[in-house]
Amino acid sequence: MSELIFSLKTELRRGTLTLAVLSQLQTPQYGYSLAQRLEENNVSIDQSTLYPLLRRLEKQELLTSEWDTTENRPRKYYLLSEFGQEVFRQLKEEWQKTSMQLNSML
Amino acid sequence: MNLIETYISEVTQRLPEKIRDDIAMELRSTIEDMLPDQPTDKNVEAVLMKLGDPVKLAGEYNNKPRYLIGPMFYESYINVLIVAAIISVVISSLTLFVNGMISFEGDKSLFTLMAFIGQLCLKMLLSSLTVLFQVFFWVTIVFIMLERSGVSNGDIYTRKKKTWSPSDLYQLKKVVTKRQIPKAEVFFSLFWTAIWAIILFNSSEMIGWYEQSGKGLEGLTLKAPLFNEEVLFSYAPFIVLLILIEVGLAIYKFFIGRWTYLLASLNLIYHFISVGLLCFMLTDETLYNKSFTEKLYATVPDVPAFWFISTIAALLAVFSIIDIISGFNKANKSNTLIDQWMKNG
Repeated sequence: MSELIFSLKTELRRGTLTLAVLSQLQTPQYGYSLAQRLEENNVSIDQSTLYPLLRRLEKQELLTSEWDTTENRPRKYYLLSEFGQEVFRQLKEEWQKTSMQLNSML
Repeated sequence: MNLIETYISEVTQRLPEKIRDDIAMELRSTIEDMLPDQPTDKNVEAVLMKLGDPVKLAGEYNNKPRYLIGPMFYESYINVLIVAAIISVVISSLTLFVNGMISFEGDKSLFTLMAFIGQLCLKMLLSSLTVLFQVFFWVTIVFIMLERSGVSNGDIYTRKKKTWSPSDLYQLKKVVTKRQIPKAEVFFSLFWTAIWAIILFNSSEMIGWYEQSGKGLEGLTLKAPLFNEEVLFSYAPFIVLLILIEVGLAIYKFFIGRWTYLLASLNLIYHFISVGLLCFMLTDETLYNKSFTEKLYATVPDVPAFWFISTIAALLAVFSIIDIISGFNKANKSNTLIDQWMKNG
């Protein structure tokens, strides 16, 4: 029973994670800072899921990345690409529509 | 710090070469970000615990599918598997059977023949099992490669399959009607062709006058074959032609899977040829072995040979006519059914 609930919850959340990550990358972020921002907003995401997700989004050309080696510790910064901006806008719209529809039913 | 490096290499060694360094660098900086300024071993352990199993993390980075054959290929995989399995088992069994019957060289008693056939059936069963494993192995390998090659991203699927529309149902309905030809019927007819061909071509060792020269079945030996082998073999080209037509017809049936006027007409032609050939052969007196007829007349003096042969010929003709009519009937029935469907739809 609890296992089923767990897997259904994971399934429900899977798509929203991408949206959450995209929403926080209007400004450049490196892995840890992004994780903290998400945590501050009470979005629970496994760090072991987050970092590979960033790579995937970069591969899909939603994000651009850049190494910053000027500080004492090199950091990889991610930022929404132009294409990513457009995708984010559409996903956001879709989310608002879906949640409105669902809210009216629930 | 050593623990961190070990963790990172546990992750990166499972990744493709070209992204290893980049991911190692990012992981290192992330881990350091997560640690306090003067980290203890406990702190390091806690951070690594947060990142979790390095194998799992590497899996996430690789993003490779965790299945052999995904939903995109599963259906065609199963279909190909079934068709390949059926075809290869039938072919391997038939080849073994034909080979075995041709190479049969026992004494001519019915018992050894039976024993030989039993053995052959066992061999066919075993070879079918081997063939099935082979088919399963290779088909699976090919589909795994298809899956891995990345063509599964929908392009093959959408290119080959037209989008579904309700008019497809008419196509389906056609096959679901009475004129559908069961696959078993096709295989049975192929098997039947193989059996009669083998028996006919080996008739000098199988059909004829048996005499009891010992005890039990083992003592039953062939004294005189029914047919004159030389004359029989002079008919070989026609018989082979008949076999080819029969096999071709069966394969055609298998693929169209239903009765049509074309199929019924082909069936008609086939029956004309086969009955004609058989009647011609049966009435050819030189076809029968002299020693067989002598033995027959010695035992049963007044055998009505002509009457016997013409009865067989008549029976064959009747069966053929029934089959021809039923073919046209089925083709006709299904056509009117479809017409009705088209009108109603």
